[in-house]
Amino acid sequence: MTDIVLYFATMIGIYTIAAIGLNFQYGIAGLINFGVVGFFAIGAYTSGLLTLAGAPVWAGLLAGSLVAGMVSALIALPTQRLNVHYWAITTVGLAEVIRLILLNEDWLTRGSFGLVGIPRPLDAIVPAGYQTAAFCALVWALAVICYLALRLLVSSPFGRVLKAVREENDLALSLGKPVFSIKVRALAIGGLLIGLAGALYAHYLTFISPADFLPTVTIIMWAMVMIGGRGNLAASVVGVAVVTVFLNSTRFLKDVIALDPQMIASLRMVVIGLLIMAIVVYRPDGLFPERKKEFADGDTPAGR
Amino acid sequence: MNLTQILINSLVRASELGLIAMGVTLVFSLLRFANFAHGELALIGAYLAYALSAAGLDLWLAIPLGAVATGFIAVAIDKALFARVRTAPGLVLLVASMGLSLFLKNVVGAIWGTKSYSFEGSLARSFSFAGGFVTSTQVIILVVSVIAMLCFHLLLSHTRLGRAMRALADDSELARARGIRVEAIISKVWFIVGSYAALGGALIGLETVISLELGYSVILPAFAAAVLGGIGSVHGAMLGALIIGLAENIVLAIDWSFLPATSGPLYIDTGYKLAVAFLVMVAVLILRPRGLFQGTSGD
Amino acid sequence: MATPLLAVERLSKSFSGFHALQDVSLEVGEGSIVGLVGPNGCGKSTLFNCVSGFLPFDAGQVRFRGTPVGGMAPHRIARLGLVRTFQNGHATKRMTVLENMLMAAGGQTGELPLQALLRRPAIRMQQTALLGRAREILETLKLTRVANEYAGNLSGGQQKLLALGRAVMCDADLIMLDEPAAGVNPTLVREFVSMVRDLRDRSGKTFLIIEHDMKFISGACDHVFVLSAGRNLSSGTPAQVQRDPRVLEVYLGKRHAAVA
Repeated sequence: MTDIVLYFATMIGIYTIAAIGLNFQYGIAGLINFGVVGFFAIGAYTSGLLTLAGAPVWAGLLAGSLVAGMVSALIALPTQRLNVHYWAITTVGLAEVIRLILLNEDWLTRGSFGLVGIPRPLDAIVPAGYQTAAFCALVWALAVICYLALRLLVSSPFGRVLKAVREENDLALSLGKPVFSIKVRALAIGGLLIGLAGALYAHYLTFISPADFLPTVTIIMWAMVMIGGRGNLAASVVGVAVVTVFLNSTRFLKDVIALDPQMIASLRMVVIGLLIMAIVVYRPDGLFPERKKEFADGDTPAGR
Repeated sequence: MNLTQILINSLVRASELGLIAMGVTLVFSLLRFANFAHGELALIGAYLAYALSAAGLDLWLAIPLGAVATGFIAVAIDKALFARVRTAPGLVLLVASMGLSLFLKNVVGAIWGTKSYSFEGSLARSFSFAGGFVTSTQVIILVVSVIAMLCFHLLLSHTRLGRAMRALADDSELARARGIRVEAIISKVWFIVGSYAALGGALIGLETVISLELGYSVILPAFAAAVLGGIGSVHGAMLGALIIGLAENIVLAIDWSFLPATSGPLYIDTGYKLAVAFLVMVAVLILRPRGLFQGTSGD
Repeated sequence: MATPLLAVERLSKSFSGFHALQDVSLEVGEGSIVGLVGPNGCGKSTLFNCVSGFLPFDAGQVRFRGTPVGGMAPHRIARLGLVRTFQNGHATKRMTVLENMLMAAGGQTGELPLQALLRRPAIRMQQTALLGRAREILETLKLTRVANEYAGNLSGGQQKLLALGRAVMCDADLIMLDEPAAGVNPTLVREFVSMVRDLRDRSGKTFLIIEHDMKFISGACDHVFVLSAGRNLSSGTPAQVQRDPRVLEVYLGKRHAAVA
């Protein structure tokens, strides 16, 4: 039983890091990233490959996160000229190209066999029996750090400019804000987090392959963010928890309901798709929309 | 691969892709969003055609029937989902179509499972033709697609519906003011693009296999074709499909060893075929953000 | 003569064959309030877009304090002290009035992510000062009551005031207002005029204003330029321009006839 609880807790922690990264990009800065899974994969493979080659896990996590952040900044390059739709298509394509590279460059990624035996951090220092708990604690420590850092950013002058870019791009420009470089930074920050989540995912499962990084993962992460609430970082945890628990709980349903497991797998995704559409139609801001920032007299704007 | 063969394969690919890309471009120009679920309409079309033919219907009845049914499904989807968020910002519509694609694909998966199918009795004979090979299936695909596109061209240029569609794409406010019944036109457009995408999907299934990945594997090339042709231009999208078809076949057929710092023959792995369309699109977007053949603006 | 704050020199711009602007010239002296009028489609908004860097132009030059700004990115031009507003107000649906004002201030510490994380004390001090200033400006604009409302929920008139407030907060020297009186009730228009004159008199701001409302123009402007079909038509004091037969014919023709 504790195993299952720990599994859920760890996965929710990992996806929370990715989801707040995506929510930062979409909810705060208004940037569409339909290639989330690509950055998740970059983080996972970078860290996996480096640690398999002997690098310490902390270096792998750092590198996975940085590489994903850099590639994420790169996709901002065409934003200056593209409208949101072209750009959304471009992000999907980029994630797909990344997956094809993982699949085809066997010399580096071992193709569809994937990476096996990725080391788990803390295994050497934590006594047996407490290792999964320790990893879970590490994940949540990182998640909290990421969340607090993003909170700080959102409430800072940087965060305000991001919101202005989200609301009215031209308005921000007309007031002297360097919109393009602001977008690059927002994408990079989101990418850092998504990459870190990917790296943690690799170290948690210890085995990854291109099959882990199908486009569906992107949609699932979007469902998490949309359900929680766009622009409300804390609410992403709720979205992540709801989706993660739902996706995993139906695995146990196969003992109860006499349905083909394949069919159950499909029906799970049918529900996720329905959820996204329902949210878009009935609650486009999610269950917990972004809260209004009100200033009382004598308040400092960058307080808290 | 010789030149004739490349041309044949490209033309066939363009025939399939064009039917899907024209819908992408139409939806974009009328409703102002990139419909990520458009590939799933092709998927549904292929599965319905398969189911009907497996139920004993002749293939040449099953495919059009499947297409018509998909057309109605597309209209229903619009009424149930997109009509409710008609005035929402593009961002929201994009996310909605993303959710829809996951939904549709897995409804199909729940009904037909994850194994792949091929049409019964579609054993193709192949002919040699000007130094290349062409199968009877490929000839049929070409003919069917050309007829379908011609029909659409006539509809667009010679009917009241066509004129109304163009007016709507140019300026929906103006069209409304002129008394065009916008919602009725939109429904008809969804019917057309749904059945055309379904036809494209069935033709792909006819040439290869029908699998759950059909929709996803075709959406990026279809977007690429639409973007290349200049969003909003149906003829551009068809031309774009041809360019994508050629690019996919040529890039994989070329021996890239003429490039510096290479040793020995160098072919690009066929595993990258899906990426070719995307890279062509990105190159075009960077060089000519409004497409090769200026369509209506994509703003 | 001293260099004018803004000089537009023989500016031309065409859109696929349509000449939106042809050889348009105008000057705006420091501390003046200048009107820009003309019938719909005469090129006023195109001129604004070209001057503020949102549209590239084909020929001519725009100088701000003598510096050519042609080809410069809009945000760079804004940082020189030339800030424009938009006709539709560009209301931010999910940013409050105060957030708008704070965002508008230029040169803030913490507008870059690393600063934002590392220089907290400096940011806090600066933000406290900015908040005070924003409240002051909102007070003069009579927007204090709605300071914590989402800007998108304001009335049309209040949004125009907010746009003016943002430009002031941004430390603009030249504020270009695009139809500040359109869709605003007459009482508010009179207040708006006095606020603009006040800003000029007390803070030395300069204004270039596109407006159809002749009452606004007469009440606020020292000088008026009239455009017609993308060309300079006339210029002078509001009174002079209103008597100019060319202007009466092209711009005020119908209305004049109706009054007479």
